[in-house]
Amino acid sequence: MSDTPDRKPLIELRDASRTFATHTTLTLVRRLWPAWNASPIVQAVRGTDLALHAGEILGLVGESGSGKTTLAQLVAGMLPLTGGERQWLGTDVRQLSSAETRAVRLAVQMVHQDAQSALNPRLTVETLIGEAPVVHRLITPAARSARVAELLDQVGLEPGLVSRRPAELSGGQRSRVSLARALAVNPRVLVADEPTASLDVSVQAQVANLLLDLRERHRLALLIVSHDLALVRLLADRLAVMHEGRIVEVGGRDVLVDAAHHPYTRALVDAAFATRSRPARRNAQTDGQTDTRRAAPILGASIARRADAPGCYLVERCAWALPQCKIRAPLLREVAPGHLSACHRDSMC
Amino acid sequence: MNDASITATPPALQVSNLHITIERAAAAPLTAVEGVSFRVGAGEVLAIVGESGSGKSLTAMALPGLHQHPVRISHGSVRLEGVELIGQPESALRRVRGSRIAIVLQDPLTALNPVLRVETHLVETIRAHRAIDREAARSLAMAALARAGIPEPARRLRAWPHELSGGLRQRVVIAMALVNEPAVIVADEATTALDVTVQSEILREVERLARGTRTAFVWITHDFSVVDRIADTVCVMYAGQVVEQGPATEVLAHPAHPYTRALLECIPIRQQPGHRLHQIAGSPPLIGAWPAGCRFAPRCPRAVDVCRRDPPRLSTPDGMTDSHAVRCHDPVRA
Ligand SMILES: Nc1ncnc2c1ncn2[C@@H]1O[C@H](COP(=O)(O)OP(=O)(O)OP(=O)(O)O)[C@@H](O)[C@H]1O
Ligand SMILES: Nc1ncnc2c1ncn2[C@@H]1O[C@H](COP(=O)(O)OP(=O)(O)OP(=O)(O)O)[C@@H](O)[C@H]1O
Ligand code: SF4
Ligand SMILES: [Mg+2]
Ligand SMILES: [Mg+2]
Repeated sequence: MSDTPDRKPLIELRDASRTFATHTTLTLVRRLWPAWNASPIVQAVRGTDLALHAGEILGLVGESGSGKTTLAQLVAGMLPLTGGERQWLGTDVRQLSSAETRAVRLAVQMVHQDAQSALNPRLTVETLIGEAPVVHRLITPAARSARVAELLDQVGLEPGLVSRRPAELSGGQRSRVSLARALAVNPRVLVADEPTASLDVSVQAQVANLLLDLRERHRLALLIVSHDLALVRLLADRLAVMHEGRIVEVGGRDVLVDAAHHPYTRALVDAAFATRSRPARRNAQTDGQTDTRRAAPILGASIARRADAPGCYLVERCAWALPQCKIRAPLLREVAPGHLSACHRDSMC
Repeated sequence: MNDASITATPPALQVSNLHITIERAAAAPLTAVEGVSFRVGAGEVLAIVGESGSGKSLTAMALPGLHQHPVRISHGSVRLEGVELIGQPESALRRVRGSRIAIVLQDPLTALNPVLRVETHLVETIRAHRAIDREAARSLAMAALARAGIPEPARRLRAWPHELSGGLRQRVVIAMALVNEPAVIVADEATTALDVTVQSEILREVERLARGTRTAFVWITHDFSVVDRIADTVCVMYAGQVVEQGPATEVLAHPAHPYTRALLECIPIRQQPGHRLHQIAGSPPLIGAWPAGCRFAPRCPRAVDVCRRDPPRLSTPDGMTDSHAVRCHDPVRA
């Protein structure tokens, strides 16, 4: 996945998996009532590779529930892996000394999807943003206020907000406080989960420009999770598309938008860049049809599928399906330099 | 509940001159929302767009009376199907909430109780307003989850909130709003956490409800493609005020307020990769520190002296559709 093999990625996941045991997987219960096995372990991320280099912006998109947040948390080290390996500059993080582990924890920061629950409701904006850099001796206590004001300004917030608590902020203000908080400790890697979802388009652009600046000036590495394909395309160098716990396509941002191989990517791109116009909606009111004007490669919403079912997890919904799609799961393979896709159709192009 | 002034069928929701203040311990209250008025008829969708921090969520929360100290409605009227809600006791509000007016909050986690399963949330919402047994409530709950675009609704009923992805939680909250088929649904950034395919399904459900059960929607969003798709009318907010409102087609195609225009220029899909993104210069004023004249003047490319001195009023300039109003001394003409 690396396009510059001579340079080690800052952070890398190899064959990473994460499962969640839900309440119904208690062994005793399962033995007494085997039917409960029907909803066993959730495989949120399955055998995924991902590398992030300094100065690189990777956009992660995909269906809701496909495992983006879980993968982001694995990259950020917020959640332990249940399979595979996480590396920092080529070394398995389990082999790092405790001092190194602490340093990595500071160097990799995450902005959570749910800003409300990620911010301690009792603390003021000043403490939320300014505490960590003082504790970690990045700044002196005397420099705290100035640093907080500077960070607020960078994310487009008025310095007058410092004495507010999270409940006294709007949704967009809260998500920018989370971002400022992550940036306060000068991270080398920033994992941002939907960082612009609750922002108006002007503030969205301002935050995007800030992230681009940080990449320029500090060679910050960024993993941006977003459902907004149009926005991540403007930000990211590469895009990875996730579906059902796996990366199904990854490549340069323009390649993925203009020449996607995977049918799921194609469906996402179509939906994101379709020019919906007023007349279409008016027609929709008379004939009850909205999106059938173009042939979508993927039909309908995601459906339940047994984790051990053979073949491609999209086969029931895919208009492009081939006979072998029912039998073998497609593997992620290179279709062009730096462009990988997991679809049986790829070998026919 | 009789009101002599009402003759024809009242609109599903009529908001007039709403003012929302934030009380402070040792100082005068701050006015956060000033003079918001709109009406939404049965089966109509009103979109509220605007600057982050402009008062959209405060307005949304105030409609069903869900605002809490220090937030207060200081003035104005909110009529639900002709009935005034402001000044009603909490017990009366609780009866209409969830049954006649429902809200999807901006932060879905706060709307879900972490120690209750999805099923309990929905069944309680239904049984609070309808005398039906658990089994019947359960099947209604399942149907609502399916309508909110949740695959495998039966399995999700048994889930705890923390086991759901952000988008799934969001859809559970949407299902809670739909389940009693209220007259008005207020949705605050309800589809922002959802990918386009799921979003499209939910918007289709909104269109279906608006046409079928004649549900009225107040849809707060930052996403103009959503406005374009579902809204009949739109309100644009900036710094606690409505700066432009009118038919959605017209406001999107011919924005008359310089703020609306500038905002539309920032839409990601209209920009080129590899460049810095277009943004509005400067930052919005903080509540309580509004500029003297027009609140947008410090950032407005058209500002002249009068803009910095006199606050513009919301009005319809000559040559514009009657229902289209703009708060600007020098609106942009089509
Ligand atoms: N703690 C948990 N316990 C059980 N299941 C979980 C847990 N966390 C996540 N999951 C499940 O794992 C899957 C992936 O979730 P994740 O939050 O990573 O999705 P996502 O791609 O971020 O979705 P969204 O776009 O909706 O935020 C989902 O099916 C979710 O229900
Ligand atoms: N309890 C409070 N105390 C003080 N200020 C508050 C309080 N609640 C909200 N505010 C302020 O009121 C303004 C309006 O907030 P609101 O949440 O309505 O914004 P919004 O338009 O929904 O923004 P967003 O798009 O970011 O969600 C914001 O500037 C916010 O900081
Ligand atoms: S009143 Fe003046 S400053 Fe305000 S938006 Fe109109 S032109 Fe700009
Ligand atoms: Mg997520
Ligand atoms: Mg809000």
